[in-house]
Amino acid sequence: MSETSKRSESGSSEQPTAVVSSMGPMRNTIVLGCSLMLMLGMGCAIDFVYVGSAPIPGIIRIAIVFLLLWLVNHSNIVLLFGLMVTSLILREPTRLESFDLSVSVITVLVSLGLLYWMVRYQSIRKTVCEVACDLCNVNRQSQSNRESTNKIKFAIQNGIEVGLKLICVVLLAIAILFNQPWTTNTNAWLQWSLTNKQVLWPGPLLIVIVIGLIVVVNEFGWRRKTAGQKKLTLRCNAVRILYPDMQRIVRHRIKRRGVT
Amino acid sequence: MTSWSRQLALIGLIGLIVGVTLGQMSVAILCLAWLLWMLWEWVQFSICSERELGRFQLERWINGRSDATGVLWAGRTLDIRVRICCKSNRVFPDRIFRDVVPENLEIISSTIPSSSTDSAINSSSWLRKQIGRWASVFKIVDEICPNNQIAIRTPQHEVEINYTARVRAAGEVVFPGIRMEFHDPRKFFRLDRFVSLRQTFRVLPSFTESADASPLLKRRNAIPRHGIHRQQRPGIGFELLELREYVDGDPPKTIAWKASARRDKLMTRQYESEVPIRVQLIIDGTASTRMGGFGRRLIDQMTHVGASIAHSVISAGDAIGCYLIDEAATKRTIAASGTIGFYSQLRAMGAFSVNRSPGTARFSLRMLETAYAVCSERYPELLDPQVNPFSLVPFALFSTQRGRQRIQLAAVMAELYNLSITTQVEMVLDENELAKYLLKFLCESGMPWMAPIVSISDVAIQYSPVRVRLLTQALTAAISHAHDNEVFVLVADLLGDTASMDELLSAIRIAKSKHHRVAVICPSPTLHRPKSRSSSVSANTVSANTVSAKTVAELRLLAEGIRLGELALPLKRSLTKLGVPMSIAGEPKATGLVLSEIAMAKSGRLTAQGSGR
Repeated sequence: MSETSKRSESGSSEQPTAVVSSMGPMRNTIVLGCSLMLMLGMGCAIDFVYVGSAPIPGIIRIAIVFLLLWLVNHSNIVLLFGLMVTSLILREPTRLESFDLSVSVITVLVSLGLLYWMVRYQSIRKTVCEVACDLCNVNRQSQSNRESTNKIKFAIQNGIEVGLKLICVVLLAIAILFNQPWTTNTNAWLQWSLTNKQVLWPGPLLIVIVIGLIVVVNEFGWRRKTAGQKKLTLRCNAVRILYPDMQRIVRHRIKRRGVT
Repeated sequence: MTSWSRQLALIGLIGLIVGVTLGQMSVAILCLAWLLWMLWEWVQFSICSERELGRFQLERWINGRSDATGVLWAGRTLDIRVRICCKSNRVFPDRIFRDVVPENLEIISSTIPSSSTDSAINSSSWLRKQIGRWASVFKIVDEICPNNQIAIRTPQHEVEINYTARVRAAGEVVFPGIRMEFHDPRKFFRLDRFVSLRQTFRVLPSFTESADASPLLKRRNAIPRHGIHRQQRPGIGFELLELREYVDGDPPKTIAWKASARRDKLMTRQYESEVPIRVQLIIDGTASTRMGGFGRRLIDQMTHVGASIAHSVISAGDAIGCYLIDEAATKRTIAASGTIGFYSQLRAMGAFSVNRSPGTARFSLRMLETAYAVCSERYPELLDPQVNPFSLVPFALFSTQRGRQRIQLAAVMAELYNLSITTQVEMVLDENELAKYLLKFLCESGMPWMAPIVSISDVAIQYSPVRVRLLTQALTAAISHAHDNEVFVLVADLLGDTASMDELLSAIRIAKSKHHRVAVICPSPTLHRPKSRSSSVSANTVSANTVSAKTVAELRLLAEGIRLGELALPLKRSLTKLGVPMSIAGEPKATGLVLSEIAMAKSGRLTAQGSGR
């Protein structure tokens, strides 16, 4: 190997190391800035939806927001969802007449967005920080422009997809709930059901739909199983059915074996 | 469904019921939207994973070859490359693929992500230090991925797993397949699958090339032909053994005329016999030699020593044969020379190193846990609670985790070994019956003979007296098959067995009386040659060694060496009385010494350089 090629090889291997070491603090600053901005955005959203209208002192409000942010940062989604539902149950009036659909839709959308945010918090933060680092050209690994563009494109695509999905889901939920007889006019529904058919309409229809759904889901589940899983399922069902008798026989056999 | 998505679904359902009942529409909308979202995710996940599963193409290359079978060498490194691609589709994100690595392989060169925040905290600048401290709170934690695993974050056409591994010991290496974990992006659902991609390799024992064994011996003037060695018995050769009086029938050309003239009677020259030598290795493979992790077992040392001796002997043009002893049977390989002979001996030793199933099984909690872990690695789909339920009775509220594992494992064992329903129930109710199949399963999965599989105390009690008897039988058989000039090398774990050695010593005496040579090699558990008695017992030396040993590990090694030296002493004494050299060999240098012992035996002399041993 010639001296020049040796030198060029050693130069190419040393260069990235030097760049990384000088970029460490810069990258940290970007990561810190992005994380703080994300937290601030989330804090504002939480404050607007859950604490905004409540007549509570400022310090408690900040404490509540910090608690919720802490839950978000530690991805404790079950607790947060529980708190959201409880808070809505406690705050919302029980009368349907005082229900404001637009406020409700915004609350639900923001809540679902927060939940989604929380589920993917670490990966979203990582993506945002990496994209920011790519834009500032201070990433740890030297990635090509094409790779970072792909990453940004994938993140944007994913974000739009999730946003549309959330809106669809909320609209579907509203459509389902507001087409039920008991939500629009409960008294008329009960009256009609009792006088005409002696059954709560659409009870029979619902039962048929549920049974149909169970059959479809089970069939789908069975078809997804591998051959080994199918055999094991049948075996386990057989054992479950025969277990009381088999247990007696086997216990007797073990006892006899112990005696001999 | 993962456990936390189950909890979320429960909260959503309760919220929906409460919302509808109390007429709180925001709660009802939120909870219903949440449930619908989960349903959507489930449908999407099920369809995607179902579509993907049937279309995967997997291929594994070991050192650039993708053959289903092959041969590897112990102690050497392997470059393993696994290619995963999806036919006419992309591999979706949130998939984890792991190449299941057998126990006999050790993954080397693990990558640890560099942490730039730590370096910033240690920085001298105040501003950098503060930024580093805050950044460490929000640090982006890179997932540490083992080298044999790949996690996909963005859609890709094909992915590759590249890693390097070292083969620990001779025997067998079986690559079972690829473990797949499918998640949805929110990690609400999970699907585990194992795809079989089986490749089986025979592993030959490693050996040390000791070309320099002969310099320890006195050089001869006349060099016999390749593969021919002198023997101090009268015969037709080139080296003079003695002068004796002429008797009728002696060839006239052997008459020593000058000596006859001096003594005034006819004297004849008696030459040494020159015959080809055969080395017979008698290798002990009883239970105690198979205990421990791969590469740390006594049998691994013994096969290494055996292979080194075989290489040296065959390089000298001699023939070598083997007697491979274990409790099941004694296997004999015919003595052979040349490259074919060498490889046939290595193949036999490699096959001998494969752990069979130990005889007795004792149920323990650790065995249950190990079997469950192995089962969830190799057969994750069979442990799915929807397929293999935790309980056999409805509403079993108070079942323990151990009980649940036991029921599931009994079902999996019954399925794997095609057992009847009665046997399955028997496994649930009888621990010993379950242990029998778990042991079989663990051994077939290539687990080493360690605590959950066998206990050291059981092995010591059951097999120790058997070993000496088996060795004696093998040595006697080898003597009965022996030709004129044979060297028997006993490679056996004889330390501590001195009390029951009489039988074996008698067999050695018979071998010596028939003018054969015997050498004994005992493997050392520490892999190092222990100190001699003088150096180990002498207080000054011990204290000097203790001072030189700086760490606990070094001290432990020193203590073990002294203990081993003490254990070996009675055996060495009884063997020295018979004129049998003995070595405690584990390291390559010790193998060299053993080879020089054999070379001396080959030379036909009783002592090296005329000194007594």
